[in-house]
Amino acid sequence: MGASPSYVELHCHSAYSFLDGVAQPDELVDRAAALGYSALALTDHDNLCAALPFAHAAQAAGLQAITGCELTVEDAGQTFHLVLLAESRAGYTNLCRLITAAHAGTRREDGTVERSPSVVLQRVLEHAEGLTCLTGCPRQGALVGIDDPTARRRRDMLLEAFSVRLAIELQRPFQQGAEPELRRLNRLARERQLPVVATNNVHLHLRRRGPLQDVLVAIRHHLALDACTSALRGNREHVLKSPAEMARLFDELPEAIAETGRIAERCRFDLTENLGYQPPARPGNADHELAGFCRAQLDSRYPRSSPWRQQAEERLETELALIQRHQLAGFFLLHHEILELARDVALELRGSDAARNVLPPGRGRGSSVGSIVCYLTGLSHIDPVAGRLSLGRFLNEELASTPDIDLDFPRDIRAELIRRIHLRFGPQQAALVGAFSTYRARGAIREIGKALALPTGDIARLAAASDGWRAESVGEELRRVPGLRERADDPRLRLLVTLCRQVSGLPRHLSQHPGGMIVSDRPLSELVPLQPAAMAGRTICQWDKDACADAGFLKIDLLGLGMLSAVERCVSEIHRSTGETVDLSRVPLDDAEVYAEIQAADTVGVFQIESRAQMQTLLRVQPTCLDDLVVEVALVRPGPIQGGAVNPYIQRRLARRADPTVPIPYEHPLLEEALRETLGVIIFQDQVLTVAQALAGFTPGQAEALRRAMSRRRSRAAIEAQWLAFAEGAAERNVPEHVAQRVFQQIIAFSAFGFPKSHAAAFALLAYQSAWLRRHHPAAFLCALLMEQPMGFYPPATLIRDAEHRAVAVLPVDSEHSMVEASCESPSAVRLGFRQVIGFGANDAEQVVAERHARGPFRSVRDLANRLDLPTAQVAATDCCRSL
Amino acid sequence: MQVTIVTATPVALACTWMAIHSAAICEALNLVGIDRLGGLASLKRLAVRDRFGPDGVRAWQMARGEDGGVITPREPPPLLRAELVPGEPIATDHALEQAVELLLKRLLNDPARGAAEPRLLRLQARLITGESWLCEAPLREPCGDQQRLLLALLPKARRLPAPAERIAISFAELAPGAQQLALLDPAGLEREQRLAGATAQVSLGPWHCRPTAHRHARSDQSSTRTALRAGCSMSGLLRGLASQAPERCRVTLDEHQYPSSVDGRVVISLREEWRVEEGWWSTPYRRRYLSVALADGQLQTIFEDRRNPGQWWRHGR
Repeated sequence: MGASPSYVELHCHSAYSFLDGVAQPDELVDRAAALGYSALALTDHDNLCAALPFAHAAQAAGLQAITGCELTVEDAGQTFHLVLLAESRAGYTNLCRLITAAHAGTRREDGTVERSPSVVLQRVLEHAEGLTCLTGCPRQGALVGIDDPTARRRRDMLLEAFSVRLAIELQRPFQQGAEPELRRLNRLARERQLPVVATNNVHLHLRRRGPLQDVLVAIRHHLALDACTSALRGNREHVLKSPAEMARLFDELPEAIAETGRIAERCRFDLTENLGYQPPARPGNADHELAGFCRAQLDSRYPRSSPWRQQAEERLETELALIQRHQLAGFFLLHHEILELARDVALELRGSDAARNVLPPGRGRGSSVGSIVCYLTGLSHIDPVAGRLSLGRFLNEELASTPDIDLDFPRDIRAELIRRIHLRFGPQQAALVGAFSTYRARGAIREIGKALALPTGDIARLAAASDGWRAESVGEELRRVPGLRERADDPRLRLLVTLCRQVSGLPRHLSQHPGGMIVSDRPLSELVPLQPAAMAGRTICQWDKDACADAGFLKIDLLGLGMLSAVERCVSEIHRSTGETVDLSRVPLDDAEVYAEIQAADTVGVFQIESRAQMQTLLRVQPTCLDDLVVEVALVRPGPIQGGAVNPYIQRRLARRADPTVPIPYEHPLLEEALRETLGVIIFQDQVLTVAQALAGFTPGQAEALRRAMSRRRSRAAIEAQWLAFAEGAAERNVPEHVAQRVFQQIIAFSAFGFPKSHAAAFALLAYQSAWLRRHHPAAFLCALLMEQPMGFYPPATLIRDAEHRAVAVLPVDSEHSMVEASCESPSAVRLGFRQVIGFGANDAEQVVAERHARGPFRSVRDLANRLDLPTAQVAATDCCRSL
Repeated sequence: MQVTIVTATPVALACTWMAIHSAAICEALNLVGIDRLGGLASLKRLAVRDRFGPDGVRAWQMARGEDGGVITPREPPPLLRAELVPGEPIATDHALEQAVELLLKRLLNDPARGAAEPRLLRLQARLITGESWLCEAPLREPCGDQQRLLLALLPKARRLPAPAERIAISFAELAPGAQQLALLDPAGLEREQRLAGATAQVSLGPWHCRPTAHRHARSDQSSTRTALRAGCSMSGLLRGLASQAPERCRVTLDEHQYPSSVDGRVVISLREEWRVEEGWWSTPYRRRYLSVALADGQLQTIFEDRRNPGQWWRHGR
């Protein structure tokens, strides 16, 4: 391995080249480390999507990560590739700007794709500082056809801009015609005294992944493998080879090998270091401003007469001290500013609709609901003192990263708010966080099946029978599908199974995170490449939420919550049909009729407690107050279920109901205080922290680190390290090892997914409010649910049947009376809207209603077809409407 | 027998109803102005017999309500129903799937079913809320395959709006078993595969014809297909290709595994090397190609079949 240690691979693609690479960044790092590399560059096509995880993985493996990109450049009507490597911070900034420029204008105003990313050569030349440039591969590089005048001019321009930082890339891909090209490039380099550099244009980390690479190429070209052989590489020589093997391949050109080491030596930019991100600056002292605002609000939220006043004051001072210590005042004020912006947006969108205006524009969720500062600044609607919500999960002494404040908004407000934030902070300084759509079972079956030219019917049947998630289990699913299971040994079906397993989890394309936004005090395109989102007017950054968190970016979570939209619609519909204004913040939280329905598991359509599993638990738990609902919402989650908490909790609760003096068994007396509220079992995520603190003496920071080790990028090594610390702490408190082990197992089992209590409290309140609306305004509630489809657990037919069972008359679509959406014709009758007609879109429905208002009712389907410009299918669909 | 003549019923409808598949009778009656059942019934029997034969007489009898056949009551199909009362209400999708699978298995194994296969599945449930719930899954054709039935019923069963205390499945309609048709005609599939295999062998087989790399081989493939499509005779095509088929050759290698001689002729220079590894999805081949200059001044392209190491082939003569 050590024969040629100076060779560094400088042209390497990961799966984030999207359909032109098969390796995850950490797989590349592991393979490079195993082959004895000292450094490795990652140069994906026109993006830096994997640059940060790659840099972190390389750092952990003791490998130097070189940040780079294979950029598509346009010149004189031709496009070609250049490999650009960042030598310094300035070089990285230029790289980000160039990639952003390449993606600018790739989408039309309606969000559809207009062209592939590419940047003009002149722009590259202007941003050459701090970058090393390699001339690209023989097939698509900058020097293809070097004998023609355009290519010569291009070479001279690159040489002038990059000077000694330009190197001619030589590859030996073992393809016919490549050898003469290599000799030609080498001759050119000698003539112009340019350095040559050997690369292998890596697309595979293992030879055996070659078929997958071919399949991805076929998918990219929308062709079957048989039909796209000219686009395939033809062999598997583009694998990551050892430095010794590369040295052997270039034994007559040792300077090309040595140059890789020299370039790697120059490219010392480390992406894991601080990138200099700062949130938007605020004038004045943010700590004073926040403290002043909160103290001013304290009197209105906790009057002097309030029993919680004393505790609230103490809690506020504690939180303000923590915020000051971690310099987070600006963070809170920024969220407050965004909430104010949302208030403006809500006022505009709701217009004169007085009923909706009594509702707040959004509400908090997640661990931030436990913060009194959030409560006082309007970022949360739950009183953390009265609700006895803990703070440790959100803020503590040893905070490792910026906490998250998640805000829920109705869908319409959220959509407009995102646009408004882009305007407020500037399109260059605000962007949505990226997310990577990865291959799952159905997509893998469909795309790989097409590439393998499997019969369309077979693909459709297998995809339909698949659970849609784990592409690894396609083989098992195949054996269950009639007509296919008999042919399970067919070579192409076997290939399909193998390739689906390999492609599982690989990224397919970049999309946008459901709600994360980042804002910055300087253009974001200097920190991370940006590109237009599929939705017009939005920009996304090329990093996902984990990478953004690793880079220290402040992420604002603006989440769309269907039920919040439905509740708003419901309030609005009640006002429209009855004139009554419902203020949800004032509905009684102890309505016996509502709890009676909840206890009877009559909860179809109710937020969070409508699933069959929830219904089953409701019957046994019999919630009688909001606190019970908080537990109920958190109970039926993977965390408590896998942690074995559900049945013990229910049994103890039933036992307590029969006899309140029944003692609760705890694993250890030290856990009594932490788990008293949940009868000795872990139900809330924050109890993981309190249990670790109580039993093993963890500090809040250590406990939070334990939770993070379990939930994100869970690694065996990290969990084992946590266990050692946990066992040691427990031993110091005289906890027997078997007890410590059992509790730790419960904690680990809990890690799947669970709610913090604050989050459960926020959701429980919405669950109660939706149950209240369902009980007292069933028709309006049904209208709201139908308007906001798709949402919830049940299809519209089930919701309608449930409403009919509750004495709501559901009237069919009627060409004379129906509106665009479902609407209340009376407090107990709902008229379905045109949107409920299959095949009718919102535009079609609006067109029909507008025409009817303008020129009177339709006399027949023919009359409707004559008066409207509707496609035949939609006209045919109206045939089902009454009065036609 | 009391005869009631429905004079307002059109003759064509009557004929259809009476299952007389003779459009000629209806047309002929219409031509003489008889377009109602009553008109047909009022004709004389002999006249009808002379003009329309036995079919006409049958139609005339039926129009008058005279059916000479013996009425055999339809035998109701056996009610196939299986019920499950679990210890704990069925709440999760997994439990639901298991319950449905179990009930289907019971029903399919019920000897009362005989050779009949269900055409309509009905799932009934008693919910914990005290209500009942029902869903039906009609099948396009009768089917006795448990997996198919599961695939048809489960998506609908998952709409169950509350945990079920009791669940039952019945075969609401049974029909004689139908032949399960494959999506593709197996014979056609086989023929297609054979043709694809033959084409691949012609262009890419070990006796492959062209002394070039994979890229040329691809053009051969497409030209072969074009030729086949254009109607060239296969034998003519094969003859043409075979004239350029590679031949086995003897190659001696030096210590670096490069040829030092080909069929006894000394290699004086190696011009290019390339590797081909393709066709893994149909006809896999792995080759190492070398273009060499021989001492007698000839240029020769040889390749090693890496699926059979040590076997060397020469293109052209």
